[in-house]
Amino acid sequence: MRKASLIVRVLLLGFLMFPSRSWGVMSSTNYTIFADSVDSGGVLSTGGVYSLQDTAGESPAGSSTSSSYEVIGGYQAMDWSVLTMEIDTSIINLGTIIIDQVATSSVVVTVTADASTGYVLSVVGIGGTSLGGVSDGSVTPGHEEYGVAVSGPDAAFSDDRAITASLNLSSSSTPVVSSQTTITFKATMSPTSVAGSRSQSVTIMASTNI
Amino acid sequence: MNLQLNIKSTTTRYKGPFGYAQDDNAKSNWLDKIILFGVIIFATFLIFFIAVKPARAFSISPAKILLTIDPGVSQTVAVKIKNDEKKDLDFRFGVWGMEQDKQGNPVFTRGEDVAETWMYPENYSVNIKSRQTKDINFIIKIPANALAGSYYLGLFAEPVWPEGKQNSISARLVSMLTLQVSGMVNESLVIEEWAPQADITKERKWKFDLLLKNNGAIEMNMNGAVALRNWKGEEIFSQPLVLGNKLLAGAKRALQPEVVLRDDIKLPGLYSAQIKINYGLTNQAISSIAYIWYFPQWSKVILAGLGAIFVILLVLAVKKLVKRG
Repeated sequence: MRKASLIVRVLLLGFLMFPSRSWGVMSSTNYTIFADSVDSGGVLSTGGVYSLQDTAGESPAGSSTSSSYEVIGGYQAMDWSVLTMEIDTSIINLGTIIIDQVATSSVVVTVTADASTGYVLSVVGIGGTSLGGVSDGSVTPGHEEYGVAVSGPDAAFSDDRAITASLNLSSSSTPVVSSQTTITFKATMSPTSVAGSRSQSVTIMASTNI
Repeated sequence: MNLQLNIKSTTTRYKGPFGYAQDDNAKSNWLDKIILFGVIIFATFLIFFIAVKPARAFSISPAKILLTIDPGVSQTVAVKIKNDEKKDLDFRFGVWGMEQDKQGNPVFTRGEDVAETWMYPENYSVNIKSRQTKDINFIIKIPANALAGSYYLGLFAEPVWPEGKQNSISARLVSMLTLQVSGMVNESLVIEEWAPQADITKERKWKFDLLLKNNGAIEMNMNGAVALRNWKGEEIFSQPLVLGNKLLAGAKRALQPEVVLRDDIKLPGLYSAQIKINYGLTNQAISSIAYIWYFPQWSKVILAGLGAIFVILLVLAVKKLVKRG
């Protein structure tokens, strides 16, 4: 009996002194490396594996869970897909705005994106002065309103919207070739609008989708 | 700004190259033909010129970059810019921060992400010749005390159009950079809302509001399913949910999933819809339950009938009591 007890104690001590590394270790998981970079200068990886070293703080399924893993530095993965943007004009002129008439002017933006996630075209910057932004979904004569409408296969909205930073104009979640978005700027004035010249600059940006 | 286009319509009688009518009709016809031929050539050239007017086009590649980098380390990333214009153009470059909106789209911001200060273009402005491609270097310097996790940046290129200050539209292309600072990173997803929408049981397509938040330090892929159970907890059916693209660190995702009821769900009562989501490289799971009282139209009619009978019986009983009293 004593012998058996001693053996159990020795075994327990052994387990405590040499804990198995397999305990708590999860299998490694790979990231998809789109393509390796072959730039001059700098040594780059030929493969990309993130080491999933260990997990900690796991909790049973609920409305919130968390776990950790270790990111190892030194990897560079490139998606060498090409994003092309064409714009048919850089000048938008709405001319002299007359009461009871909607002044319009358009720009056509053509995007080619061969990334698997498609593209997003959005407004990222606005400068200068303008009339009051449209808020009811339509630039209508007799009211002071200014906004944009978009048309095309990937148009993000079908009404008239005020021009704001980060306004999404068009997007696609799949690759596109020469996808055209027509951005129509619209302005109207009311009898109480203050006369004068307005000039606005708008920056539109195309990126791949996440 | 005013744009006026004046078109004047004039009719003139051709009087020959010297301005007077010539007697020699044959010579006049010959000259007419030469001038007509010239006009046709000019018009053809004009149409061709308009048709092949160079588009204001340029390209960027790679469209996406993923870097894992240690704190305190510097690195250079090259982005290729192609000038597709007929003219040489100046391009300017910069780095903006990037977030993700609730629909999963990228939103570029300036001055809000600390990582914007870690990266800058080697040259802020470069001239690129027509039809040429140039490598533009962006330099990254990660501070030694940078926290492990993902940072999202947009490396942009913007041509400076020849029109200069007259420009009202500027165009930009972005290469999306995911910068992962090495170290232990936490993956955590929270279901902030999982609830049936108002008037959910009017149709046999139940709509829910789902709001997720990535509380971790790194982006994650997600996949999920919803299981519908009866009051006894027995699963009736389960259907997969589309949760959209990768959820970036710190981002929220708002969705309105629909559960189409099967024909065998006819009885009124309490049902539960349990959502289960698996996410990330650590393959974590989260779940949440929403409860729904379901009364199909026929059960409402029966309930209304029973209610009416109860009221009638009550009225009769009260009348009887009054008579007795």
